[in-house]
Amino acid sequence: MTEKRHRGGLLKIVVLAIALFAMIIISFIGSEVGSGIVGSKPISFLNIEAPKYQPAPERPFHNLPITNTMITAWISIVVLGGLFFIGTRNMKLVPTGLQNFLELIVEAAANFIEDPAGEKHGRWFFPVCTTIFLFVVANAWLSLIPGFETISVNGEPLFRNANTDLNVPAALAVVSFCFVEYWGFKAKGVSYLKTFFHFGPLWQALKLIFTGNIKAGAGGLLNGFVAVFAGLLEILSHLIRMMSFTFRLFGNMTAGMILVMIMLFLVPWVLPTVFYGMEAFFGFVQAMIFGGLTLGFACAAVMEEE
Amino acid sequence: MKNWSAALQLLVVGFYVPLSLLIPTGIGLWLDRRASHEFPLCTIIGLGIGTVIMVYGVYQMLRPFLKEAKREGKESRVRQKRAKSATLLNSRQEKDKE
Repeated sequence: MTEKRHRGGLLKIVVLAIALFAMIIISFIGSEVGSGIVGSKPISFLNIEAPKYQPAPERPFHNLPITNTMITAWISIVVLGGLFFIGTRNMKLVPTGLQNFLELIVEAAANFIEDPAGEKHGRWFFPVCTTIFLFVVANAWLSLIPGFETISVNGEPLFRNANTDLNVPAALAVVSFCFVEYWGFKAKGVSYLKTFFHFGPLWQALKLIFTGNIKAGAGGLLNGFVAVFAGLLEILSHLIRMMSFTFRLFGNMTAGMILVMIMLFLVPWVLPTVFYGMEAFFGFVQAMIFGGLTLGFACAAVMEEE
Repeated sequence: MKNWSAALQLLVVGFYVPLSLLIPTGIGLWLDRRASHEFPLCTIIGLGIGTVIMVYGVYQMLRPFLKEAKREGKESRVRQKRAKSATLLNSRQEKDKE
């Protein structure tokens, strides 16, 4: 009996796999590239326009300095703000519906942040890290709504994933950098500058040399120079972080957008769904990385040196 | 039989998502073309309405599955706790005997 059921299940999977494979083949042959390879006529509704990628965001209103990525970012802000406004309007002690869902997000983020940062610093980092995460994920997922990027005005797309505009990740990276430095100063005061300008060992070595203890001083001199050099490297690493933040998010999101566009052009049916799922996952992962790295750098900035 | 009904429900979700998006967006597009607007306001409104309908509908449709998963999770946690307490009790009883 169980063997019969097992066979039936297997048959269903095989039939489904064959149907999906047939759809992929039909859509490939029907598309422009596939029909060119096979030598048949392209099927009109499968013949999608070849993707054109423009790195700079488009301006749908030619007379206004508003780009389509800006519009999408505004929509993300409105969606997030609206969701949290509606969800927290009538707060209940035992949450239900949207409040329950939002509390789930907030609680998960709070636990994620408080785990490495502790309660005191976790409360400082929570608003910024969570906002960055939600903003990036909202931008990434909004652009996955079917039809979202196809609406055009004056021949230019009206919406485009905000993360694919270099300015948006760069702005987020600058915000992240500023907050990390601010938290560093807030936690350590002016002594936070010691992270970058570590002249203590060098002065000590020079002092030893000038007081006549030349042997010990000369030994400490190398350590002193190493500490100064490490401070300079630290400055450099803090500045380069902004670049790495920017290009990581921009590169991943842009590559995803191009990949989906190309897959839709090559095989319009079934296969793009897989890449859509991947994009949804990568959007979440990139948001986690952006928020998580901000958290990591913030933790490093406020950490007491042993 | 249960598997079939679940598969059917998921199939309905699969059809619901594109239809809930396509119908309002299509109506918006049709209205825009009729009014010959330069700005596709009705299409955008249609897409917005479609998205809200889609998210709400999918959530409502998947609620039974989510509830079931939650209940199963809870049950497994209770089972684990029971097993843990049973092993603790057994070990204590063995210690007492010794």
